[in-house]
Amino acid sequence: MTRFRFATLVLNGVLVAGSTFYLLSPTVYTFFSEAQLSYSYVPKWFAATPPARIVATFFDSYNLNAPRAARFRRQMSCFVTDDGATRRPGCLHEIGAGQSLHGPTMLKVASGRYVAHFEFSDSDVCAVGAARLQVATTGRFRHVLADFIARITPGTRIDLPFQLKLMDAALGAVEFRVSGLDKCVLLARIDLTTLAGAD
Amino acid sequence: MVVSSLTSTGASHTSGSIRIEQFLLPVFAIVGGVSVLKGLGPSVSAGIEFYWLLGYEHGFIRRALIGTLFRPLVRLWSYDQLRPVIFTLHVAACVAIVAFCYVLFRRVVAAQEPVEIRITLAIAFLCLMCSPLMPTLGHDVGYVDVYVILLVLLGFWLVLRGQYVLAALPWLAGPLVHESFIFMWAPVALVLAWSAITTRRNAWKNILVSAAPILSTAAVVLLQTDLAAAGAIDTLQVSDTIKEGLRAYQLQQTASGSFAMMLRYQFPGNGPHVATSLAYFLPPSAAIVGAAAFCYWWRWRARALTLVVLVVAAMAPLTAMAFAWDLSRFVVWSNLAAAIALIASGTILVAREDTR
Repeated sequence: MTRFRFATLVLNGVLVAGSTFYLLSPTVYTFFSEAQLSYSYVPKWFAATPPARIVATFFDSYNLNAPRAARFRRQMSCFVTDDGATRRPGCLHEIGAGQSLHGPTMLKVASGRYVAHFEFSDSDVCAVGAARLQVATTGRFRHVLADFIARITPGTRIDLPFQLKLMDAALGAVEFRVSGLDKCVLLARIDLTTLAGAD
Repeated sequence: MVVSSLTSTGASHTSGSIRIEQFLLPVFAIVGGVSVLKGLGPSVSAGIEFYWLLGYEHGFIRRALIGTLFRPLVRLWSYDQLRPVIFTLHVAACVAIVAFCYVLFRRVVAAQEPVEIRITLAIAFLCLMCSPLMPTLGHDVGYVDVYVILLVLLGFWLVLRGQYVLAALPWLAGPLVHESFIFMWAPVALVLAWSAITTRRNAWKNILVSAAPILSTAAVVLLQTDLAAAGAIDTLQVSDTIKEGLRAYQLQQTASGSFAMMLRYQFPGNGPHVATSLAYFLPPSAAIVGAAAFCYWWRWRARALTLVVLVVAAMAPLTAMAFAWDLSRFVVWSNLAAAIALIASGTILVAREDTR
């Protein structure tokens, strides 16, 4: 084998390996302060390959302190969407049986362990009831990260710990859902506390 | 697969061997299609209606060429009804970009005799098809980036065919679609100018045709009137929020204003993010330029300087970072700029151009 042919072999090997890596990697869309990773119309097993995990790790800390996430986290209940629930002044939400809310839209946070805090209050029409509280990731690879059914009385505060794994953080956004199961509850606040860093 | 034929001189290009690119390049183009699908957005992006609705009815304004061409459809159907059309056009434009890249690479691959070089060039095409450029093109459904890139590639293809007058037409139109055309045109202009300097072939034609977008960019900057822009925006059937944004972009946005905004809001504290993004998005560009040097080093004049020019050409779209906050959207253009540099390496920059 000539030296030229050997060099060609090495170069082409590197190019093919690199191409395969990028083909299997997620679509990465970055802004100056936030990154979004996704797979659209390709088989889901792309997300289980080593390139997917490597790229997810590479960009995991990108969304630490993202301004949009910071804004959401200051007053989460102001950025949720009512699905039948009724919004009241001060970003309070009346949630009756069969009604729900979800949000915020596109809360990108790094992987790690977190606690979601749900605080309830009362009004003339809403005080006591039952509700289902969920933390989930959105998108094509959606996962329910925490799920809890609670009896709510005025002043109830429920802490829901959950772990956001690397690929869930990379390919999805965190979303909170509250569904009314019985009577009517008044959601006053949702908070998110970080317990520990990436898994 | 086809066995190569003899040349007119009686010498064999690759006698007895198979023209491998005839098999590899179409396969790699299909891989490019998969790559686009990986990023393809589910529907037309929100907040970009103005690209499709702004027209020249109230006078000359920037970014209104697509809207003017789209206007006959808007008269018949609402924007919401036309979303599937915009989506289909976007997919078609992505397919056309892959096809153009295929045609351009096929040209440089076919012009080479050593099978090692042909395979390296074909794999450089694979590198482009798998690069972050392709899913990013698919991602931004409804944005005009794909049309901007198509116009650049169409002009470049026409230049390589020696059709300079025709090539000037898409390059004149490009800045009227979006001023970001300049960032993708810059690498082409650089390699054309360098070709004029080093080979002297079609020197004036190269320089004149590559200057065409400067004229229309000047028109975009100088001829827009606030009155026309205000009139066009006021009559748009979009939300007030979008109108307010448009007034800021159409009426008040300047290059210096955008740069000042980037200095104030986007750059501070985001240096590590920029470094992370560049570290991820640029290796395919480096690989493609490396492949160009490997294949053509001995055929260039002023080799070291030519390599510097190619690197600068590949990096040229990064200047968009100074003005635009959607970082990867423009950084990935560097992947295509590197491919353009490679194609120029095998055509207009070689010491004696292949005529096939």
